[in-house]
Amino acid sequence: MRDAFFYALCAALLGLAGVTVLARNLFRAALALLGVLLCTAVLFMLLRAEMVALVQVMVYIGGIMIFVLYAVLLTSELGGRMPGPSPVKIAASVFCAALAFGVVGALASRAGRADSGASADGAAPGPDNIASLKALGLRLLDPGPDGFLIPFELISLVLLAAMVGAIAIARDDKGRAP
Amino acid sequence: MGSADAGMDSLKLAAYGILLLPLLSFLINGLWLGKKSRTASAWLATLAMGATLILAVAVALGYRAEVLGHPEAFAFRSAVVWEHTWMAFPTGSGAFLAAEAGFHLDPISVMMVLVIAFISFLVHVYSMGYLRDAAASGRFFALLSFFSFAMLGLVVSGNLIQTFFFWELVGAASYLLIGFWYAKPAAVAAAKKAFILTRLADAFFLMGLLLVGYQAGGFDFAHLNHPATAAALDRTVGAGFLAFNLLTAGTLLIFMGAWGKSALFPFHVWLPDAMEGPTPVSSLIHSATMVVAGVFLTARLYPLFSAADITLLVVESAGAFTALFAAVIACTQTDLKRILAFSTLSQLGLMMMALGAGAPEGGEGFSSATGAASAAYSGSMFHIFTHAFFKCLLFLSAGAVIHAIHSNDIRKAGGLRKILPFTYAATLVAALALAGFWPLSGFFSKEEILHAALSNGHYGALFAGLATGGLTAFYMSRYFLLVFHGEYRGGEAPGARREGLLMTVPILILALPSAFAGWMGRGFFTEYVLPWPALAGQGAMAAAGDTLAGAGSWLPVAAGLLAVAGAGFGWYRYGLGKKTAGFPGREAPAWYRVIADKFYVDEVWLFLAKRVGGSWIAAPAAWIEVRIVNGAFDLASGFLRRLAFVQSLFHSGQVQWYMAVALLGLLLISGLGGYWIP
Amino acid sequence: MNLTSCLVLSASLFAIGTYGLLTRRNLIAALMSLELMVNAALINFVAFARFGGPRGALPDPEAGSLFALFAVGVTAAETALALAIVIAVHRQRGHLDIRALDRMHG
Repeated sequence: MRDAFFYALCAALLGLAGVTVLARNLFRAALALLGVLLCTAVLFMLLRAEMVALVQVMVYIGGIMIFVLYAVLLTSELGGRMPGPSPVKIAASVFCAALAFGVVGALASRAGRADSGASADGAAPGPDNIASLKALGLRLLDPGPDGFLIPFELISLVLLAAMVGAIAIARDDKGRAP
Repeated sequence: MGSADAGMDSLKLAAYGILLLPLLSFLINGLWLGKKSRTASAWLATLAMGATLILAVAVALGYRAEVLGHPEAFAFRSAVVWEHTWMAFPTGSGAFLAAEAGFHLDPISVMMVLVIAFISFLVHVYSMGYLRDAAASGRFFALLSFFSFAMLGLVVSGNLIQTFFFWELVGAASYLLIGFWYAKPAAVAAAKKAFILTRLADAFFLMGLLLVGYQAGGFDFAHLNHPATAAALDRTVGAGFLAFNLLTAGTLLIFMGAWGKSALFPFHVWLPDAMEGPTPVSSLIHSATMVVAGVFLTARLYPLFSAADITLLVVESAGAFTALFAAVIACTQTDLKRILAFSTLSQLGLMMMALGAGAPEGGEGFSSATGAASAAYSGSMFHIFTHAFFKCLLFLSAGAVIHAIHSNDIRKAGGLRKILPFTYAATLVAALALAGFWPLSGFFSKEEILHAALSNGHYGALFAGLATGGLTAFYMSRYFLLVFHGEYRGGEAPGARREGLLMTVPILILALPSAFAGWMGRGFFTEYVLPWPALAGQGAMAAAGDTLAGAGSWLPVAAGLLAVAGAGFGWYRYGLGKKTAGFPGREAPAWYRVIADKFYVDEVWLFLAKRVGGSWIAAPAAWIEVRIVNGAFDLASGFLRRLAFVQSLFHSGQVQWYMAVALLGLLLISGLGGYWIP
Repeated sequence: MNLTSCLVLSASLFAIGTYGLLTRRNLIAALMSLELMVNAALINFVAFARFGGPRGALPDPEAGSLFALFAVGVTAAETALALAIVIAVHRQRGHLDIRALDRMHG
């Protein structure tokens, strides 16, 4: 039962992704992307990573996607039909995509083919393996070798830089003094 | 040897100075002073040459005291003043074929050094007046100094390599000076003609030089002139129809250089055209010094040449033919300088013929130092000596005449003795000397030559010499009378400017040796200027003296009579107030026109150059150069261009292209890495 | 549902994203394809966190979740900057054609 749901979810995910890359209308593509993100969030739930699903919905969909939609609404004629790529380009891109699929897939599945094979097959670990919010929080601020304190500090810098950069790039220079 | 060495040391400084002073004057004038100030450059060159003359006299006096005073210490009366190793070509097994750069003195080189320094100095003084108004005189004086340096270096060299080196430098100086007025197309053409013709001859010279030097194991004159060397070279090499005698071939090839440089038929065509250069150039280079370099070289290698079986015969024949040929043409020319040019050609032929006439009858080698050979040798050198003075004077006076009437054409001259009195007197002396009138210098030098021919049994050469003498007297009297006597035939009045002092004084000074060099030099030449085998033995010198005094005393009388006859015929045709006799125009008979057109030798050369050189050799070579050589380069560069174009496609600026390439690279690396990392 | 199927899913999503990135002419559309690729990576993170890594490494849900968290954060920053550039380009040129942005040509 669970497997059927999983496969249906996969189908939806890949289908919506296909719409994102193939749609000739930009707004439609954006909405399809939104769908992809939602499906991904559901997938995370299935994989027992609720925290990530939460973050996905709140930040990714609620932040990034809104931003993308804003950009789409600000810069394009919404009903417009974008021109498609040339056949040469399609062929080359299909080739690259296939290559990417092949290499990445092969590498990943080689990594996934664990030698011990004990926990490779979906045997769910015990309930005490579930990442609880408290455990996550403690791990996040853990200064030890297993902790994520330093990345936590660094990412705040990254976000600051991104903010400043975005403002600097996108601001209107017309009325300013040189 | 101690005192000899000390004596030689005292000459060293002077010897260095003789070469260095003209060289420095050339460098300073050429690189800086010539452009800065014309007057200063003229003074610098002239003073440098004057100092060189003083040093040359010092060296000559030193030579007389040291070498001639101690003959036992100096074999062949030759001394090495200084010498440095210059080139050494390894020939395997540790041996070297070496050439030194040095300053060698022996009788003929001392004579030449004096002549060159003296004439060059006078020409410098003359040029200060002649080129007073010329624009680029700074360059002129630099080139005159350069020429003097090169010529001096040539005559004092002790081996063939140094000789060849300076030989080429002299040729380059001649080219630059003939084409001095490079805006004049005729001058440029003449310079090219001179250089290319002599360079062609020099190619053979180089071949012979290398052949002989390599086979003989050395380039020094002392080594080459040794009888053992000649004997070693006298063998046949090659096979079948390509076989040749090494000695004959080598000496003939070397003589080719002299053939071209001394302008013997048929290489003579460059010398009349070289008159396009300024008159001081003609008087210094193309009469007194450079053109005799060929005769000088032949004299230097005289023992070697005479050991070969036909070389001296070739020398004699070429000289005799040229002497007669040029003398005949000189009788018909209407350009002042060309008359003198053909006269020079004729006299050069005489000098060469003299050297050739020294070969004993039957063409045997030089193992016996016959007195006749010595007489021929010293006669030829003596004639170089006397000819330098009166020919230079004649050219300088021609320059004065040209300056006065502003034209080179003898048909526009006449009656100039009133305007140029001093020039007139000096030219009279020189003309009489050239024609061989007793007691002037030319008489004695020609006498020695004719005597040598007679006593050696070379009657053909004797006939040629006598006939040339008669013709010389005729054309010189024609020249003299048409220029200085009679009525003035030019358009406007001749230049009323008084004879410039700077131009007249050298002319007057030269009149003295023209007159008296015969008396002054005779003793020196008969006693010391002898080929080496003769110098080795005392007995031969006495034989030389006997030859000159004894048999054949009818000869000077005959020669003198011929000269008088020639001059008389000239007086008959051109003197006595006859104005137009002697300028036949188109109505002249055909034989006259052929002679006046110089027997069309120039046209033959032109055809050879254009058709053979141009169409048959140069054009295919050009085709190969353009199509094949350039084509190969174009192919290579085209390939690189296409390669670069392909590479530029990677810089299209298209982001998605960049991303695709980056992705492929990433996949490649991660794929490979993923499979190699266990 | 096992690790292999999740990895196949993420590889497919990555491939689709690649195709879109190399194909789309509109700048924003290309960015959206980029988002797909990032999401594929996220799925990878979470899958390994759930099922365990190579050579029998135990699954570590905490680390996986936190990794994904940071990935989302960085992606947010990157998207912000990218869309700022999009705005600037649109202001300057009036269109968002990726083929016109070739000033680095040469």
